[in-house]
Amino acid sequence: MSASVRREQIGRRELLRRRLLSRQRLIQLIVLLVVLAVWEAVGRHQGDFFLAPPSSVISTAVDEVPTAAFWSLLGSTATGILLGFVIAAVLGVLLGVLMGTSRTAATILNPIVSAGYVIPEAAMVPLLIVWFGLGMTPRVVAVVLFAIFEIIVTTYTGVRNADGSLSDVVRSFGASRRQLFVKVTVPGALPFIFAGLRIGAARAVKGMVVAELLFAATGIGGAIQLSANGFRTDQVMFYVIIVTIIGISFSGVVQLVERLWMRSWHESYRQTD
Amino acid sequence: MSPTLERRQTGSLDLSAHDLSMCFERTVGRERVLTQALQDVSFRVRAQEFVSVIGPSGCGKSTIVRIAAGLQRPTGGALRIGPNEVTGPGRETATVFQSPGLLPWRTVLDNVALPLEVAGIGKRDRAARAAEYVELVGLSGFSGHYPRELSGGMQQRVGLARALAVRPQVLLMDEPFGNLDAISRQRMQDELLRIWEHMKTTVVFITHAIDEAILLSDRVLVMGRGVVRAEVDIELPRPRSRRMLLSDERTLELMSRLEDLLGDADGTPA
Ligand SMILES: Nc1ncnc2c1ncn2[C@@H]1O[C@H](COP(=O)(O)OP(=O)(O)OP(=O)(O)O)[C@@H](O)[C@H]1O
Ligand SMILES: [Mg+2]
Repeated sequence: MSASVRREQIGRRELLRRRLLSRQRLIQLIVLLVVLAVWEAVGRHQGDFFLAPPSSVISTAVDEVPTAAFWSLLGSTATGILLGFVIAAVLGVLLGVLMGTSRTAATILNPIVSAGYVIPEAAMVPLLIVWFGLGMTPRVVAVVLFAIFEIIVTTYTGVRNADGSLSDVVRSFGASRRQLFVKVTVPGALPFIFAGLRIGAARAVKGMVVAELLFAATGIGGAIQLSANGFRTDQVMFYVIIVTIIGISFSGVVQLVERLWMRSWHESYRQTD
Repeated sequence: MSPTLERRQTGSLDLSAHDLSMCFERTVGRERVLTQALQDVSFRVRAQEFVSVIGPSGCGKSTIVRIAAGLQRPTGGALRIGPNEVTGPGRETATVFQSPGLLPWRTVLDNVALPLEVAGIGKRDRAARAAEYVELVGLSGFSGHYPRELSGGMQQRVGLARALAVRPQVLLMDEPFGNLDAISRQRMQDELLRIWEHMKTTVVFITHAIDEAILLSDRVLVMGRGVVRAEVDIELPRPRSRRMLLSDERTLELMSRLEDLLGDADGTPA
């Protein structure tokens, strides 16, 4: 028979070493350190008012993080993002699948989605305030608007992209439309759907902060606005970093789910970044 | 290797084409393009017979397979499996395509089990049966591998195992070894011969290669431009082997005869 198969166990320590000490990790770390060093140097030279250096951002963080006010800001912002993202994910995937499987649905929804895709959502926020007031609702709606179109479009693309020759093979075995959908279309579309969710997660965070900035008094976006009004660049930086952390960890979670789900088969999921 | 082969009867049905016609229609701008892929084609493949179809590219070979597999409705005539006209994909036929068409997210075993899953066979039964056919094509050690971890020849074996696992009455093969290198191709031919001697199912085998058709078939249909031009019986003893055919002068005769018929089929005026 062609090729013999041999199996070997990789030790725990070796596995850990590979994960932590790869060349890529090292390069990433160096880049990060260089950026921080340059930022510190420029910041010290220009002064806090123009660009707060990392050291003063850190001392701001030490002051802010223990306060109850900070955690309540964080809580309200994060809850809104999560809520909006979940709604966008569920609705977006459903609509994308609907468009991908029904020609009528695609005909009706395509212009709407195309329009939604190009409209600057930020421009909608003032309207949302008029419609929904200043509570949580308009912020969640803003998050949904920011995130949903990417998700719809990628899901639609993925479903439509289902391999025609694979469908033929499975159909030739007498698969029903439903079986075809479950066994070929969905697994084939999953990489697209997850890509959409990852982009959607990042856009959800942006949506929230933009909405809060325009609201002027809520959540982390509101805090950024207030700090900027008081010329506290260190605080602005601090909150921007917090937003970044929320964003990264959020799409990280999506990516983790994606990895666990499709670890084995897709090339791109084998090697960790 | 001795998997429990066939208990249920396979190949108890014949396949017959009755004035089969297929006309593809396409509109390009203001022009309507009609392609007559098949024109009143009639032939019969007896139960348990191995029939090859050869012919130049574009003469309608794949179209016959797609109609027989129920993937396409003919525009005229009928194709029957046993007494019944094929109107859609059915459980009597199984098809091996030119590209193996494996689902990349399923292991070898799960790919082979797919048609059984579609047919609603229980989890344990289908795993056992799939394993049996994976072994039959010599891939036992690779049950847990994913398609991209296999060579082209091995992928094609999986495609064959998947079709056989259905225990079809009629096995349809559309240039199944067309993408393989010469050595893998020979191996697959030998393998197919061995398996077919055991299972004796009805086979329609599409190919470009004359030697392949002679080695495998009881009869060869020569097609040209949407029609069957000739039928040639291959009266060579079975079980066959490549070596045997090489030393048999009838092989050469058949080869030159088929070569001539193919030349005519290619459109050179008779
Ligand atoms: N879906 C289709 N739409 C339009 N024309 C088609 C379609 N499928 C096949 N044809 C045409 O029908 C004819 C026969 O095609 P078919 O695929 O059966 O050829 P073939 O004998 O299998 O060729 P090859 O040996 O290259 O595989 C060709 O001229 C092809 O262009
Ligand atoms: Mg073909």
